[in-house]
Amino acid sequence: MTEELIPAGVSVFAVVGRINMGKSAVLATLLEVDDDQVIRVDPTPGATTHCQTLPVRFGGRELTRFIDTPGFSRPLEAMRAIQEMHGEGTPDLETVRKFVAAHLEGGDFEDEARLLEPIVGGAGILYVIDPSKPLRDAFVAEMEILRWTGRPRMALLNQKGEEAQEKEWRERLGSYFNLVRTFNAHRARFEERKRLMASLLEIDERHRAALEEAIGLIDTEWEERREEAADVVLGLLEEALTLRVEARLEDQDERMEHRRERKAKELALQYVEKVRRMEKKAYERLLKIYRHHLVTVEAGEAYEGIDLEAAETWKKWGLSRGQLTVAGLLAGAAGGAVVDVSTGGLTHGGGAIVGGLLGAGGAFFKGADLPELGFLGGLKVSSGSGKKLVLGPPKSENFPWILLDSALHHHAAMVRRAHGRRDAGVLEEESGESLVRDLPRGDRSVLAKWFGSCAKGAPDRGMTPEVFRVLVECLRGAEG
Amino acid sequence: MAGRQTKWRLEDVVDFEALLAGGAEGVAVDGGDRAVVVEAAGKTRNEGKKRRWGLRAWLEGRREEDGPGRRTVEGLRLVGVLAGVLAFLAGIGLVRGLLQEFEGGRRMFNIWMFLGVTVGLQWFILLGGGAGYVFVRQQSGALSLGQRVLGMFARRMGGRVDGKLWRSLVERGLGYRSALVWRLARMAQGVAVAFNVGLMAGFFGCLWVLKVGFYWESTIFKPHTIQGFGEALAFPWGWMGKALPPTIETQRFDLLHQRFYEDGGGELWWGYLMMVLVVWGLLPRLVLWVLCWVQGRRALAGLEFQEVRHRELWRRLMGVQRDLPTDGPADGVVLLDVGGSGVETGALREFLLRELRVHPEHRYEAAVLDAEREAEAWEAISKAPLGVVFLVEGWALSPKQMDALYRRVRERQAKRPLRFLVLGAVHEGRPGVPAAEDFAQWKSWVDGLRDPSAEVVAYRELEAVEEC
Repeated sequence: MTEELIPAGVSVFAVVGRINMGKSAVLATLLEVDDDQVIRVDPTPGATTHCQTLPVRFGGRELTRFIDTPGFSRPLEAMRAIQEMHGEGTPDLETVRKFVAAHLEGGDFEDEARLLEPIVGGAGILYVIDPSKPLRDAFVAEMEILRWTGRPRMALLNQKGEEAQEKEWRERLGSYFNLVRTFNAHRARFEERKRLMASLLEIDERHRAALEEAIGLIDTEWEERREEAADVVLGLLEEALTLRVEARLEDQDERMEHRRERKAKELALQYVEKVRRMEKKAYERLLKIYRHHLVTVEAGEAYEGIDLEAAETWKKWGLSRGQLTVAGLLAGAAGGAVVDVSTGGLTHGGGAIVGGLLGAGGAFFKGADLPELGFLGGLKVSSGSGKKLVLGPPKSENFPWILLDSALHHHAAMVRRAHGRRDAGVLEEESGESLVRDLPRGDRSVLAKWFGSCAKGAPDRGMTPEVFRVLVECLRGAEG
Repeated sequence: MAGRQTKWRLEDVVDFEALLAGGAEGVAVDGGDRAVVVEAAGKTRNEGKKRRWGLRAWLEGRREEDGPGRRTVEGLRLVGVLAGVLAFLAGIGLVRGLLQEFEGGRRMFNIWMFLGVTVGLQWFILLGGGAGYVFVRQQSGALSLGQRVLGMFARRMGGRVDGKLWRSLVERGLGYRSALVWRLARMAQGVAVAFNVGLMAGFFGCLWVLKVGFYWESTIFKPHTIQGFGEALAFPWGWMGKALPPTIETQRFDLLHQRFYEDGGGELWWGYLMMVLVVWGLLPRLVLWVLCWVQGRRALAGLEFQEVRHRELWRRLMGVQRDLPTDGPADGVVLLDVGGSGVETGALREFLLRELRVHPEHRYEAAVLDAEREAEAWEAISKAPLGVVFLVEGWALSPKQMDALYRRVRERQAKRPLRFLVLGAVHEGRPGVPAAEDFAQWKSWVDGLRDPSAEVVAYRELEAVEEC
């Protein structure tokens, strides 16, 4: 049984503590599992009934293993039983081993025996406590039992309540544990998860190589997920900016102004709806990338998406008018510089100047249109009989920035949500200010140029790697 | 083998894109693929090369023998050869067409016309194309008209090369289009080489089998201007002192001795004109052909594979994949509510978790009217890791019914634990504590089963968890 729990060459840690301290939640967050069928996070005391092995495997190779255990339910009595079993002096690992053997198959200390089984088998200890709880003798008994095992051990402060007595806890834990760390299972983000994994290195020297490899791979995997998310955002932006909706105009529509206007309004609604659908699809992919199954991006039956018709959206998100102008200027100048280079400098920088002025002017004046939802496109003569109305992306230069802002906020909400939470529902989007306004000017210029090419319906594929790099950095920055 | 697989050719690019036509998510990737790619990519530390070599190795294991890549390249070759033959014949025909026939059967080339049509026109097209490339196509990456025509024929002659695939190659930036454009440009230069060879062959043929003379005439230019122009054209080989245009004096000398009118000064001009064809016609095309070849190779060698689908495929092939835990806690039981007591699972959950250390995964009813629900119950029972908990009401012991139920469960679960949780009266879904005499009857019946894995438990109200 012990061999099954503690395989050779694998760094194993038993997550122990009093019942209802959030042991399972810590593991759910650490391993990014929000499925109760796999890790049961439950407010019911004693919901973890047996030891559950949770391996950290990469490509089928197990590098680390955590064991979720039933909580201590009678620590004081268990401590006395072990002392009694040992007789004079301080009990040691052998006595604890005998205690486990005596109570594993049932009896008063079945839970204690189960949780100690992997520890006597060689697992390191992650002792989870909630510092908002008062430090009572029962906890001291738990710490004593764990100390008797002599295994490397770390205490994790997983604060669930409002007021913590952290100082008192830290002082006491310091004398029993090699390390004391804070890890809030309901708030921990990737960096905190990584720090926790790195802390394990300090208490388990024997499996340093495997642990370091696991930490490196976790880091790489996160980078790759961020890159995948950047591709999703890139796809969303390209799809939304190249989107055109069209409707054929009948003779009557052409003759009668109000009919044409009505048709244009219908098309505008269609456009907004399509953009919302694209957003929803993209955010669902992001949820999958970040392994969230409990939350959704839709409210009720229909996905709300960003409200393009609301003035507040345009005010809150996207770039400021000044930033839009500068971005337009830089993008225009970059485009114009191409002409200068092509002529071997014969134009003496005229291309860059003219391009920059046109870009800046366009951005400045179109920026003033906010929040009106005008569209590019308009009336076009189609190849067949009649004409058609084509609506493209909104005229406002800020439209792609608002889309990007929305994507960054959604992404941030996803990476900030801990998997130890079990509240299902709609993803809580943090009501922060615009994130794109904080982007470096150079990055804004790259994006502005690419947005321009997309809005014309011909995305500049040569810019894709650069845009991708900028988006990866945007997402990294938005993680906070 | 591995060394060969690191280089990308045009046919590889076409095959690769054909495989990714439906997006990277549609491509099945297995452990074998990953092993091949990891091995190939592991031979270099350069990130760009890793991707190029890795994807190339992956392609090698996936491509069809007669894939679109091979067909495309064969189409291009075929069109190149056909266009080359046509251009060669056109060159011959053009020179023959320039040979004017005069009274008395004399045949003569107008030197102006000869130079203008054979070399001047080519240079006009060449410089126009070059300007178009520098000012327009270099930025937009669009194909020239000639390249479009060649591409269209190549695609058709290659047979069944998907138009969508071709368009995607032409429209893609990031190296693909560049590789294709340089390949088509190389083809065009190859055709021009054939044309120039045709011109030279035609000219040589005319000189060989016909008595050919040369003349020039001009109203505007003086003879010395013409001579200067001729010498300017001859400057690349002028240092050799051979095949130079005849001087005015020589021409006058010949004229004086009546030789010019008799043979048109053929021996004075043909060497020079042949050199003009070689140096100003053929040589630039050969240079451009080599340039296109080098650029094409550079475009292929510089492929970054950084489009969305490439990155996605690369992540799937080389990405770090953490296998998420899938096995949940093995403490699930099936609650079998005998007779339909109506007790709510939620009301029993804490008792089951804390006292019996089991988790109610499923709940079914037995000995009720709904036979369909019962059938589902038997299916679930055979899968519950920690067996079955019978929910029974204290007053409702019917030994024969329970014997039958017990046997039926044991048929599906020979050894797993069976627990009989005896409940008192159920009120609004909440269970009560059973009467002591009722529990004693149940205990006696369970003891009678003589089953060491069967246990009887009386429901009781739990105390709140001790606050530390």
